[in-house]
Amino acid sequence: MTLSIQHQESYSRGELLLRTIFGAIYIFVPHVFLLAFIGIWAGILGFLAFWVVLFTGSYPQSWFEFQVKLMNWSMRFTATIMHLVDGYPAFGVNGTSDKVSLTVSYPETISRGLVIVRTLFGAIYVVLPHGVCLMFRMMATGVLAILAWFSVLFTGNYPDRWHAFNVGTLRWGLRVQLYMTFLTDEYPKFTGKELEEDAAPIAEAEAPAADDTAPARDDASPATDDATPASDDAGSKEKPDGE
Amino acid sequence: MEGHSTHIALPQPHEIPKRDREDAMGAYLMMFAAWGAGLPLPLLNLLAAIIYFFTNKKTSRFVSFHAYQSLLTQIPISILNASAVAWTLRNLYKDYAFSDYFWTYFIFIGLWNLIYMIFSIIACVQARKGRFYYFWVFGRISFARYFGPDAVSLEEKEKPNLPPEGF
Amino acid sequence: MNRTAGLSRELLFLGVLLLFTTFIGYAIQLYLSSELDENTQDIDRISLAWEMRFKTAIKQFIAADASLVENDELNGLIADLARRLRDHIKADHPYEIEILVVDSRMVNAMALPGGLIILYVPLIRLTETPEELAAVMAHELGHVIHRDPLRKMIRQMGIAATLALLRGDSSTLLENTIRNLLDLKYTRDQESAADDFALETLVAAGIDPIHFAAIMEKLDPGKGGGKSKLVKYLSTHPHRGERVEKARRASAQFASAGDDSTIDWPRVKKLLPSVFD
Repeated sequence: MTLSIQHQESYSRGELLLRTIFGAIYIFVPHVFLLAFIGIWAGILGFLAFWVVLFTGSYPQSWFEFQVKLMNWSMRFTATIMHLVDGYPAFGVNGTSDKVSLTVSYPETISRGLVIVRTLFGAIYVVLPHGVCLMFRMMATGVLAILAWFSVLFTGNYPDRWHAFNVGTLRWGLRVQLYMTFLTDEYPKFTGKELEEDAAPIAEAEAPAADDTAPARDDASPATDDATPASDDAGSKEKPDGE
Repeated sequence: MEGHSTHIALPQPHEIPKRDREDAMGAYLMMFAAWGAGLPLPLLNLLAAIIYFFTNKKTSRFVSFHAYQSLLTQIPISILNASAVAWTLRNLYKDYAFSDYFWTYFIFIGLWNLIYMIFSIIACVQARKGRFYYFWVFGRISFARYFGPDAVSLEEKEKPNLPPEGF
Repeated sequence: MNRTAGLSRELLFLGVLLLFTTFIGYAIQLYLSSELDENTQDIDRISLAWEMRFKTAIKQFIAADASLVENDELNGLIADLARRLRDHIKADHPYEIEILVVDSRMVNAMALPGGLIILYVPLIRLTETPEELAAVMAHELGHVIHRDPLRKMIRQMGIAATLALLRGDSSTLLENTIRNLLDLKYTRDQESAADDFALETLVAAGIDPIHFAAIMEKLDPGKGGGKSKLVKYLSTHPHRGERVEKARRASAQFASAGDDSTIDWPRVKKLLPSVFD
């Protein structure tokens, strides 16, 4: 998976203050309200997906894409709330942003045994260790976020390394979330850094998966645009020397 | 003798992409949605089926057929379940006895839920294989809607703008 | 095959399946409810003589327990009420109805084999008019006439043990039996039948069934009375709401023949012992 949140050359002080004072009203409330409802639907699909994966060994692709798009939206919102990017986050699962992007490659198969292991023991071998680490990391992120606020206010600049660290926290959390919701079989690494092996799968996501034999639709109705937003990578990769 | 063939060619299993098959399968899983949401409300299943139908309407006829069939069959089951819940709550609230009629109705609904679940799972598996599966009566209605002579169009209304007459 | 024929055929299948499942549901329900009903054939094996002997044994037991209330005036009034009801019982029955007032903590009344009815003091204290007590007595009379106490015993102990107890073979069981008889619920049908009997008898005796509703409503934990005692009553008498409504409906059709009695009930209640309160 790849999460990239662009570090801007300069940040707008006006938007910073606007977000701080009124953000609860014009950003938080509308997005959280909608995310909550769509989140219920995602929860239902996630619950059903558990059973589908258990019986078929594969996560339904359209549901997978829906979950990823929802996470994308959530990241857009979070990035704005945390002052990591300027601008107003786009609404909806089909919304896009040139500053925030999340891509997760679709796994053709999900290990059924691992699904059972995750369900029964996930709390012990995933949530506990990662939770402890993330707890400390989030404290640090909180401190940095406050300091960065002042930095942007006075200098208009969000220090690179703090930005990378905070994005790394989000990335780490996302990796755990992806693993626990059966969207990937890869055990989350104990790091917030972008990893080399994550960079490779982007090329795969652009090409259609090989399993679709003769993908002719019934009456040539235009397929809904479900392609993962892999196209907006130009210039949005953060610097690799993260923390 | 009425026309025997459908207006629109039926896709065969090998012609249906995996994605469509999975989407069609998902339609029949909406009856378990209430479990997923954690609330044993019968109408939640119906709502899930409705949402699923509307979000998958424009994908393909195969998916739409299954989603519509699932929705139609979910309606009577939800009505039955909701009425049973209402009757139970009324008895509990008003401190009434659970009469013989109530228990007969309760068992009747239990049997129908079982029947519905079994056939939905069969349909779910068939849909994943790219097969059409027809429930009694509801299968015909769904089929007529998407493959019959009066089948609906999946596209948006095309070309709303036309030049004035004569141009 | 054309389309209409196919549709008709499927509608037919659906209809048949609906009828079939209704039938299955009814059959299962019938089977389950019959399991709870007593085997009425067994009850015919119990002769009246045995019942009377059992009644004597219980009376002796209660007398020995020293909880029997022996106030003549009180017992006389209650006997009058009982006579008024008894005279209007339509069904034939072999029982000599006897009513005993027993002091205890329980808000309850109990019908025992042989035509014996026990009224517990706290229940009498809960009534505001003699008609309300008459309603309770009428209900218990219903159980007596329908031989429900015996059915309870057969259901709880089985026919063999019941016969043994009635014949006087095992005297040590007596105290346990009485206690268990108080706890064991009548079936819903038995309670319903006793209610119907009570309402019918009250009307025949010229008493407004509204008093039945009144005393049932008093047995509501929300209103007066100690909570634990009332809970005990309610656990053995569920579906109170429905029973109250049935009494109200009967009352709506009741045409009052005479006045309610002129007994000074509060004074009568003062005659009750106050040992346990």
